[in-house]
Amino acid sequence: MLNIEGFTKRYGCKIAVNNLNLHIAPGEIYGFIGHNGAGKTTTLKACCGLLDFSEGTILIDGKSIQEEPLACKRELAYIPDNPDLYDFLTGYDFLNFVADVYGVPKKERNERVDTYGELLGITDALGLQISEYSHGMKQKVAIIAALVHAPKLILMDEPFVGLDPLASHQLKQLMAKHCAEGGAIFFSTHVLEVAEKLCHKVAIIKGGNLAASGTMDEVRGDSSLEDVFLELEEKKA
Amino acid sequence: MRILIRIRLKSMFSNLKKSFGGKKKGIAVVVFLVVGICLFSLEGLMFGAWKMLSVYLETEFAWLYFAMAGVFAFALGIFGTVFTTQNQLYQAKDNELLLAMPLKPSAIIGSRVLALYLLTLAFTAVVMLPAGLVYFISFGFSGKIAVLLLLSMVLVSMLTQAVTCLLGWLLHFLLAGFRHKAVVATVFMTAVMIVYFAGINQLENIMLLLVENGGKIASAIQTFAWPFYALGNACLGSVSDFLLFAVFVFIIFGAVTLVLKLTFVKAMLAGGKTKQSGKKKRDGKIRSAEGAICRKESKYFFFSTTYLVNIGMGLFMVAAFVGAGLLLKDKLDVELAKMFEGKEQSALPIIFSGAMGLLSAMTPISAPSVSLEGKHIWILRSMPVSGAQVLRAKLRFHCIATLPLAAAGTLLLGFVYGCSPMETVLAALNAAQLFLLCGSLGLVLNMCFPRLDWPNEATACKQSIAVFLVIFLMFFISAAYAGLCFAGNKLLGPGNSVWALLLVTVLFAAVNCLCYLVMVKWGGKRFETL
Repeated sequence: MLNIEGFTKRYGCKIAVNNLNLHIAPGEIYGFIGHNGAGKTTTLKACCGLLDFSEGTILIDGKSIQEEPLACKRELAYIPDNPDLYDFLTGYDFLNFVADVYGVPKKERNERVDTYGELLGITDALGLQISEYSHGMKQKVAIIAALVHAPKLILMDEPFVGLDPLASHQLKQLMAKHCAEGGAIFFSTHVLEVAEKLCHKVAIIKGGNLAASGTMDEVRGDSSLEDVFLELEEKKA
Repeated sequence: MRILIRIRLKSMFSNLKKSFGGKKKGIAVVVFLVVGICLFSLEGLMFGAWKMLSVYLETEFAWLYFAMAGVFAFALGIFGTVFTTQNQLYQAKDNELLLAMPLKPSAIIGSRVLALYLLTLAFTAVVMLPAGLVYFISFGFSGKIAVLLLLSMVLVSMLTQAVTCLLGWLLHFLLAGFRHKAVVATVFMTAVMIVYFAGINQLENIMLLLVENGGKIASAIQTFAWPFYALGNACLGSVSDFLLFAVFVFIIFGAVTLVLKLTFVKAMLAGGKTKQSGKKKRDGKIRSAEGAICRKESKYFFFSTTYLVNIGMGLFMVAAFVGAGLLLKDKLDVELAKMFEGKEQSALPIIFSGAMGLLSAMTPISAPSVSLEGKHIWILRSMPVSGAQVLRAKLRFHCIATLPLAAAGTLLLGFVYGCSPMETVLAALNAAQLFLLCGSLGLVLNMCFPRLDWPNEATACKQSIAVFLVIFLMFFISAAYAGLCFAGNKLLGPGNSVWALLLVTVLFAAVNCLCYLVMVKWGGKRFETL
């Protein structure tokens, strides 16, 4: 579903991500872990076509994000770490806007908005202007917007930040359901316990280089993910 | 307080630098030149006005000369900064952040008022410096008067700032009660602009009236606005009057500062938001991708006071222009007959469509629209829409908002003023073409100078190079359009004005096509790299 081959991103002389190789198959939840500034957001943004790059290839469902950006974007959804949504729209307006752009038929969009809205406990607030939303409410709307067109691949940058415990739990259920139905999820997180419980595979990035990747058992071995992460960080120090 | 002032000034100069093209020297020179020309013209106008009023200086009402300068500076300062004041004081993005810090509200307000004060001082200088210059040319330079004049400018700016803050404060509470704040604010601002332009238009008559009725005005000012009487005397060298005026200004400024200080936190906590029902029904309409983006643009346009007031005022001016044209038909018929010596019938379609072109310069809705995406740019960039589609949708909204009004207004004027049907239709078509050109040109320029890192919407709207250039270019293009039409009329001879109009229509259609292609092809690709 998502193939990253030799992806390198430079900002001037600084290499943000160096020769990254990752393969995310349908049905997988892939966690992306690393310290602040390690290159997680850069990678996620490049995967959804928000950042240009000159080295490497990123394929979404076999199509290159650089050569066929629109075809790739139709298959994916992106949730940024700080969802700055259009403050001047209501929640319903925003979700309709997204559904219109993706061409989601009326019946499907209404069903999905109702289902996910109820699940995340935000239906009652969807008629309010987004300017009145809290961070968590915006995050919930961003999640519904990501799911409203039933994408094959979801890219999430710190999706659990700002969510209440119930919404966090529901999101985990949604992620599991999405992958059970053949979709794939690639998300970054700092919460190692979440990654450990939720992910089929995990990658640890350090200073722009891939430090470890594979199934959860391959990466953590007999210890915990936290121990592995801290060990890798100590090696860096 | 010192740190806050430093940050505020840094932000002001950084915005100013970016407005002048940042590190791009070529753009900076062009923008600097255009600003220079505008400022020079304005100062020329002011100089002429003060030259006329300088007759007061030789009468017993010499003080009235500088008193009038003070009154004009006061009025211009208020018109020019009231919305900026309201925006900067009560809608600044960092208000909550600063209030959460161990800072006194008075320090936050103080730093903001100081930055605004510099802007007001600039408005005062625009009016009072030429007045001083005319005085010194007529009576020779005096150090004492120069110092008192400069100090009086500082005081007049303080008085203006105090009243502007008070109006901004009132505006904040008044607008809080309205659902469509942007529309209410724009209607108010348009009314102010109409009064302002009418004043500029009638400047000569007003000056004559002032010259002829000096005695009455002097007595009225002495009775009802004595601080300006003191100001007039102060600028002529009276230290005691200067001190009197200074005491008056300090009392007003102090009182307003106290009101702001006492109410700032409350105003911030109130939030200024209109209560809405969360149960609002969803919009069940299905749209195309471009239709959805176009609707989003319209929602933003009518939601944002800054966007609508600064960029959309031309819409209200079009309505006002058509209304004035219909109401003042008899008067205009006489004036136009005098001006065109009986050939006004062939000139009318050109005047109507050319005027619409000038009004299009006041309605560059599309010009800041890409910059206004700001931090939201990720939404469109992560969606399956091409840059060309986004720009087309933005242009579509520009057209929906402006074209029908401009075309219908021109048709109505053409019909009422008895132009031939063909000329009326062509004039309406050209009015629409000029608005369309303004839209696509605005988007091309915005793609040349996109600015997504603005600290507030006002920066993206008022200090945008794209907006500035499109206004300037549309004035120039509208003048060129009218010039070409008149030249065509002259070349083709009497009775062929329709053909002249038709030729210019075809020429502008070609220019529009070219600009549209540049927007879609080049602009679309550029959008995808933002």
